[in-house]
Amino acid sequence: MSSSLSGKAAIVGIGEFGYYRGTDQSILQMVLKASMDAIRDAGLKPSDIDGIIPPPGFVAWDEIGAHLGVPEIRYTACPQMGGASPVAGLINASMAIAAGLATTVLVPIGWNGYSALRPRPDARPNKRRFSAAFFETVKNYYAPYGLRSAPWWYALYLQRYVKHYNVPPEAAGAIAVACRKHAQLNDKALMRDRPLTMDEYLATPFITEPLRKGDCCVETDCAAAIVVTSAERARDLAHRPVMFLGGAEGHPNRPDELVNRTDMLKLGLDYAAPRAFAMAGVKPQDMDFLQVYDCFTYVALLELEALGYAERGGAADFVKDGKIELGGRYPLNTHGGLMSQGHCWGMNHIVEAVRQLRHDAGRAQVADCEIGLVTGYGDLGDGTIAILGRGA
Amino acid sequence: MSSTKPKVQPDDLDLAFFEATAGAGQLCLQHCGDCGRWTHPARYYCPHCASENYSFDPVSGKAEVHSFTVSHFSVESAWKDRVPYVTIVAETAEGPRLVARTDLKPGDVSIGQPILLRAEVVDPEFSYVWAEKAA
Repeated sequence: MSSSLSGKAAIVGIGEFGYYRGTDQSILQMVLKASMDAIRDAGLKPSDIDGIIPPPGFVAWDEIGAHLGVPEIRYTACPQMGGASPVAGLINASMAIAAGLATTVLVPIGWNGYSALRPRPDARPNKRRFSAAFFETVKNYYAPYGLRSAPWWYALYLQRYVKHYNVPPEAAGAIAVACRKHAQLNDKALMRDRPLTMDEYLATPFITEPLRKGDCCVETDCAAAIVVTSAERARDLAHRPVMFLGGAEGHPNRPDELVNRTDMLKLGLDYAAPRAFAMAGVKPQDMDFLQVYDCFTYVALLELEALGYAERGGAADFVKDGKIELGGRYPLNTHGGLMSQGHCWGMNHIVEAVRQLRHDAGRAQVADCEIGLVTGYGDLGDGTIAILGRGA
Repeated sequence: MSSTKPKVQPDDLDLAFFEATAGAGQLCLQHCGDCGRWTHPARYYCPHCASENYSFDPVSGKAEVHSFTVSHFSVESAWKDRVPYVTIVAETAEGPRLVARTDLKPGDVSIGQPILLRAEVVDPEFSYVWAEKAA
């Protein structure tokens, strides 16, 4: 059963600024460059944009619109769910367009994930800060315990996943190795020219168990953006449209903390995935590729289970023998992912899905692909998913 | 077991939780005045019965290890000399789970293991939760 939203909107423009370790560009500059590139990629002008879904922090919709010279903004909303926000932005844009509230919506994101931690003496310090609701929980109950940032928070539940289901490190390693392999085909990937074997992955030191250094994505300076418009308007633009076929968001109960969930391993994506497949009227087995939010390898394993590719604890079998590598049945993160292309909050996963479905993915092209999915994950487990298809 | 003093500065019910624990000199959790269930972090409405009646009451300290992590790396001055350190997700006998620090060594912690929780009062607005081996 397809819902009324399926097929009503399409991604028509993509832009990226990155991926760097160190840049002289401010967050706002990076976001604006990616945004302008996305608008131009669509064959449009800033005056064609009438909706902006901004990132959950750092920069706001009004300054983005003002700097780009968007004359009239009719619609804005701000999903606040960390790395689940870009897919939520895509869903929100599609909804606004289908409802007639806007015609063409810009969804950008960007940050200085590398430089913020390593300010250069010759560069102006970036004074913009990020905040999220769950920071209160972190401040009061996690940070005082030596749990400083995402690897330490997520280790609290990932260790239970590993211990309870006997998840072997080679399963997580398969994610890291596949992403790194795909990054070798991508000139923009931070980890190009740095191949990774399973043995090298297993030899990386523990940060906080079960997470090794090789399980963690790369800190990055970057921005990326998409432009979404109606299916009708998309037919007349520069590229073959990439159709929004289905999408959903889901959130753990309770969403603002990690450890008191009845089932600590149940992600937002567990709730969202069945609804997205139902909206699109397709099954997990119909996908030609998977762009899965990979802040940490073990999180990606849990997402694959939430998507229905394996039972809880069973992703190890799904990821082995090259099945998630290019040439396998379900190529995963064909751009290198957050693990090896760069951390752009998963907007880079949407951009890559668009390239694939335009059949413009270069050496990483999944031959003849027609449909694929993108997931988002953030802020202690919020989950989003979009199912995208090659337009006519 | 000496602790540095973190700058936590809690607000709202989190502050009430810490003040109750410091006042009692032992770990207190939010206790529903209607359904009797316990909740952490504290909520203005009971997640079980939507009641607004609650008090912060001492708990038994009986708990078990629900999950844990062993940190081998830290950039924080208060923690980098302590690696590898264990942090526990403790499930209390009353129900709620709390993150707790411990002097237990990495090889001495496993999921399901019984532990005892106690509060180390740092100041009126912050206490650590410590996990010790159950007697």
